[in-house]
Amino acid sequence: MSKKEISSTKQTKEDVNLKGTLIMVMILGIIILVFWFGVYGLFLSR
Amino acid sequence: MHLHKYEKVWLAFGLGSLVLFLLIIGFAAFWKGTHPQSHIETIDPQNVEANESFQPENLGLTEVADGKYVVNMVASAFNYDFGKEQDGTATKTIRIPKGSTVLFQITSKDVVHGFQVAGTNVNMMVEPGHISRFEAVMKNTGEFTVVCNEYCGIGHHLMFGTVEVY
Repeated sequence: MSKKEISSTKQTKEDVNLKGTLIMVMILGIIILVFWFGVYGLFLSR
Repeated sequence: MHLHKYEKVWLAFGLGSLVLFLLIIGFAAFWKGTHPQSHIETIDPQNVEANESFQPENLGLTEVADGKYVVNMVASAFNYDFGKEQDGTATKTIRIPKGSTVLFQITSKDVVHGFQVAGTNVNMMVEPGHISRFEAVMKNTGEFTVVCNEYCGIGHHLMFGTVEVY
């Protein structure tokens, strides 16, 4: 691999756009938390 | 190590959730004393009557204090022994006043059974050689079906009863 190619890979890694990934991870996290507290509420009410 | 700003955000979220849930488990286990229903307390499954709680005359519902009850039961293939009614017939329905604290105690004479009062939090595995206990406050009125939720043999589906909270 030439020097030029290495620097170009580095460049793309820095600039990679993770906004969609962040949104998806947060949606999944919130779904897990909502379900957990939902089940806990069910446990308390019974 | 280089981490993207967003990676730091979701790593913090994940680690935060992990710490939160570990704290909840710690609180339940060490502060509230939550433990598995069979708490290493053993009994001879061939001779459950040797334990006072499981003598035939002590089976079923007993009021031990004001608003506090104990229900002793023996599970066997394919029946729950809830004791006997006044007229000598086998009890099939346990009637409990609403709001009372009930300690369910059950053991098995033969194989692994389940004891679930469907619609409440009372749900235990019943293992031969162990005593399973679960204390619950009966908050809601209604008729709740007791089911065996561990496959115990050919008559598994015939194993049921009723808890009535009035």
